[in-house]
Amino acid sequence: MADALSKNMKLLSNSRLNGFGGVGEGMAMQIAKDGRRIMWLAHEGPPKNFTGVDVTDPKDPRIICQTDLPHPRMRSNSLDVTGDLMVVCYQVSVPGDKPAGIEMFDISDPENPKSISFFDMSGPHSRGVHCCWFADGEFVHCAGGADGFEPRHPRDDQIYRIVDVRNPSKPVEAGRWWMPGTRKGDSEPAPERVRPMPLDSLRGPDAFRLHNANVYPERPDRAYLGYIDGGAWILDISDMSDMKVVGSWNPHPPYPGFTHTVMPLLSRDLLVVTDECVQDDAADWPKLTWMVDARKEDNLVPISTFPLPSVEEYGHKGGRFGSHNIHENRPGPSLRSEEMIFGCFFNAGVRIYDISDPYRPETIAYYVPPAPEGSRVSTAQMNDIYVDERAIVYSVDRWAGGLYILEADV
Amino acid sequence: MIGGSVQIAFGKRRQPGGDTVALRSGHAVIVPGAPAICLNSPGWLTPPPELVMAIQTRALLRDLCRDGLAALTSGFSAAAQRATQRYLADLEGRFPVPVEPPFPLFHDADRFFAALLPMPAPKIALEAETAGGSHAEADLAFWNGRMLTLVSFGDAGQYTPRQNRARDELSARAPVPVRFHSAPLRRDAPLDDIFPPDILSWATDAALPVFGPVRLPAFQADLAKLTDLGAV
Repeated sequence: MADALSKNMKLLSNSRLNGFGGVGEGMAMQIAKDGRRIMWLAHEGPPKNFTGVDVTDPKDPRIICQTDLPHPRMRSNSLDVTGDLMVVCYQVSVPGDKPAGIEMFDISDPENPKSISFFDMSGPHSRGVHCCWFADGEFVHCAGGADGFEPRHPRDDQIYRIVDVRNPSKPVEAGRWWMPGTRKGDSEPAPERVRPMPLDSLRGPDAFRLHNANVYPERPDRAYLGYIDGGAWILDISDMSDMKVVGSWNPHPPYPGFTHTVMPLLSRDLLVVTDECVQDDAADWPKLTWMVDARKEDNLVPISTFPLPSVEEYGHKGGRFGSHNIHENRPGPSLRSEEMIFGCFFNAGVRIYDISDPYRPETIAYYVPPAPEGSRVSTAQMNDIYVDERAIVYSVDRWAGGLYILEADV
Repeated sequence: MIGGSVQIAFGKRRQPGGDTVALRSGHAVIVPGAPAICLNSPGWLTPPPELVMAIQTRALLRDLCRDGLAALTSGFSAAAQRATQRYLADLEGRFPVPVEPPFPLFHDADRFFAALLPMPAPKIALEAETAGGSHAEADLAFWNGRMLTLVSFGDAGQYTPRQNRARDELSARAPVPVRFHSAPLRRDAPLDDIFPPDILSWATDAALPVFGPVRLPAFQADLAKLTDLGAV
């Protein structure tokens, strides 16, 4: 790691995850009953499903569990943990294939996760579940297809679904919402495509579907949705069976689409909204992280974007370059700063911002690892990030590098 | 912590899109034995004379305090802003404005002004070159004459190691006791959870309620008469 670029951050350790170092965007920490810290990771794709890493000593991570997917036409990509319960998402390549839904695991014995239940979200037009949020131990908020939901466009299949897991062995649906106009039969007009793409692959951009749904215990009546080309949405979910739109904001077009995460800063009435870069070589530049004034929820106003290195320098280094996941201030063993934002930006690495002046976010630290051996591209592709309450930073590479554990002097 | 004092800069400090230009900033220097900083403490509000002359009622005097605090609080300190508004509303409820005029020189309603001043976005200077940086921060600060209370919204997991070191440094080296209080972020959190009880009860327990941060003209006339009579 001699040629990493860094400022105010240093690498404590790196685990290649037994040679399966391609990790998706599921990272969650469990404090086991014996006090160990277990970092659970969802893999980017087959053959692996998820891996548990004991990170109690961040300088010496140890793999304690690694599981396989049932078949290679699927991926897990996302997971989340509350207490000793873990939710894992299953997304299939072809609509109608199975398993497509969420599986609940009892991880009280972290070496031996025990399946508790499976909530099926398959259907003739469904690719299953891409992303989930499970922060209160009661409801799973996810981007999933549904039997009975037929989108107007095949890429718009994953809608906002809430699953009640208060009885984790018998999950039941609590609510669903989709962007008006995206379902066949909606009275609203279909949204105009932002950057139309051929349908030879359903993955990737040109989609009006949910990516992330964030719901915080301090504001249980609100869901914050990143709806890809549909932009950012705030829903009133006080009645989950009848959710209502409170506000929305969408910079796409003219920007090139793919709103990913909408994270509220609840003490400041701000939103941090990320796009996701989904194409190599800056083909979809710019993919930004936005600061949005949410003092008036029904009139969201963008006030700044986070600084990034120049596209001339990074755009053609290899792989993707631009915004993606941020540390989402979830409850649990997690840093919950509303003055600092921790993000990962594919080949621009892990970056930390001081947002005390929201009109002018400043880069205060970064770590850009070199390309890991065996990667498909010539750079590291930092794909997801988690920060524990000690401010230890965990980030993962999308293709080969596995888990990077970092210390930040911030 | 300079020269045996605690130096607090408070209030919003930046203007939209600009550099570190002070728009409005308060400054408090606290030494052991310094009196409590209350809504009626001189100096935190500096209204122009023409505004002071226009204030004829206690209700307007309260509005002056309310507006002054709002002006000191950043629009993006939403939790502090809401908490401060609720703090003042609580005082308003407990000490309603009397029917005016006339009103006596001292009135129980003036306990409103005896309440501790919430100092928004305090930055407390540390000795130079500490491991925690140059200052410690919070969302609100109160000084009751004995202890500095720093209120922060959110749970304990919100601080980075450097911020924790700054807080430890402040605790260890401040010339006055420092108390850190974590306030819940939920909007429906009871006021008792947001502020320590002694902060909320301070005005009730004040020995003698005193008029506001500036004197009403009528009140000044009363004072003049009393002065003429040798009573003051």
